[in-house]
Amino acid sequence: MDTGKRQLLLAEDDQLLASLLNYRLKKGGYDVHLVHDGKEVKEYLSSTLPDIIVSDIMMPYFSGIELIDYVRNELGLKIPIIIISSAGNEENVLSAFELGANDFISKPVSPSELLVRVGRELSKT
Amino acid sequence: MPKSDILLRKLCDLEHSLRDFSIEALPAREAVVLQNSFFKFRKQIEIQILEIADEGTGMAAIHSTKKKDSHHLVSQDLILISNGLQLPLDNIIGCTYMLRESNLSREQTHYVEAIHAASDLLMDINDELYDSIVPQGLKGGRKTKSKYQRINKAMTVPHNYQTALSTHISGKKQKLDLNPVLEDCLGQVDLLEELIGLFKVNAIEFIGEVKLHLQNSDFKGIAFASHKIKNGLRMLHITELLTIAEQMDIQARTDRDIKHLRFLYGCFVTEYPIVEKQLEGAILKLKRN
Repeated sequence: MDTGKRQLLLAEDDQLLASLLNYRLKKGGYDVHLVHDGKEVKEYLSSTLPDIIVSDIMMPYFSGIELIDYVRNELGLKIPIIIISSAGNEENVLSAFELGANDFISKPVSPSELLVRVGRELSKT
Repeated sequence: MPKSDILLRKLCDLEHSLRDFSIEALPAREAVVLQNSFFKFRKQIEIQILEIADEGTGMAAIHSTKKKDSHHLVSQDLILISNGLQLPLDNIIGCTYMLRESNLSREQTHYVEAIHAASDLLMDINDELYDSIVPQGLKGGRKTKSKYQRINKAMTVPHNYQTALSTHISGKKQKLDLNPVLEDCLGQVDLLEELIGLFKVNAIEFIGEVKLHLQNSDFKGIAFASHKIKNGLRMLHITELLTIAEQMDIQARTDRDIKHLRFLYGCFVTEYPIVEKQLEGAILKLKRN
């Protein structure tokens, strides 16, 4: 069903953070689809194409880095990807950028900041 | 017969003779002879028995000997005290190891760890005292930790023990401030309550997961679980548990000291119910407002 809202795929295995971000992004006017691991990301992307992906780097089964590689190289998609990373995870952030991530936000995530970053990336498309 | 026995017998005879002696019955000349004889006798006694040749140097020798003797006695006393402390301390530490393996409540586990940490510290102080008295090479069978071991330990384990313990023992709990989280939730107390519910689930999962990882000495698993729980703790501003989780994460990735990890885990498990109550109290307060 097309709600006219921008579709956002949120991949975050920490349910606490996921719930907060889900609520704030929905309040921010996005149609959010929440998944908790890499397998669910693959399943979702096999049938739906979101406008933007927000993903944690450390996830079970399929990391955020693998997700970028999958989206960019296997699916060949150019949709914006924002990575959520923990402090002190700079190496992974660099790898993410090398593979084609558009932006990153570090934990603890400020929902207001994420909304601004999501809006900025979508405005470029 | 040895000379000392002869002397002793003669002194006894003299003592008997003196009982019948009267100064009034003695002529002046004989009194002078007796006085000289007495002084010679006293001097001879001092030389032979007290080994004093000259009165001046003799007193200095007495002081020097007394000083050396008292210093030696103090050192001997300290060594005795130090050796005396070692066995009970060993026993206390040994008992804490055995207690750790038994079924203890969270509170009891905490107390056992506190006793262990304190006795371990006392053992270090005792070793330090012993090392300062007894020179290297004269220690007999007793082995003390090297200075390096003690410094290294002081820089890592006890400091962390103290951090975790001091927050618990002192009872000075930091009040939880959920207002920043409530702001993130756009003032929705229901959402905040839901998040706290999720945190509780995460914390219980963490406690169970880490217990298994500790049993299997799975450091990677401990590091991952600690890393994950940190985010929720940081988000809810639960600093006490966050400090413990951060230490567990670092310890599991670097030193990999299973005993220390068990201790930190014990602190987390002990601390968690207190935090849970604080969270419930904070939510109730927000609801009332």
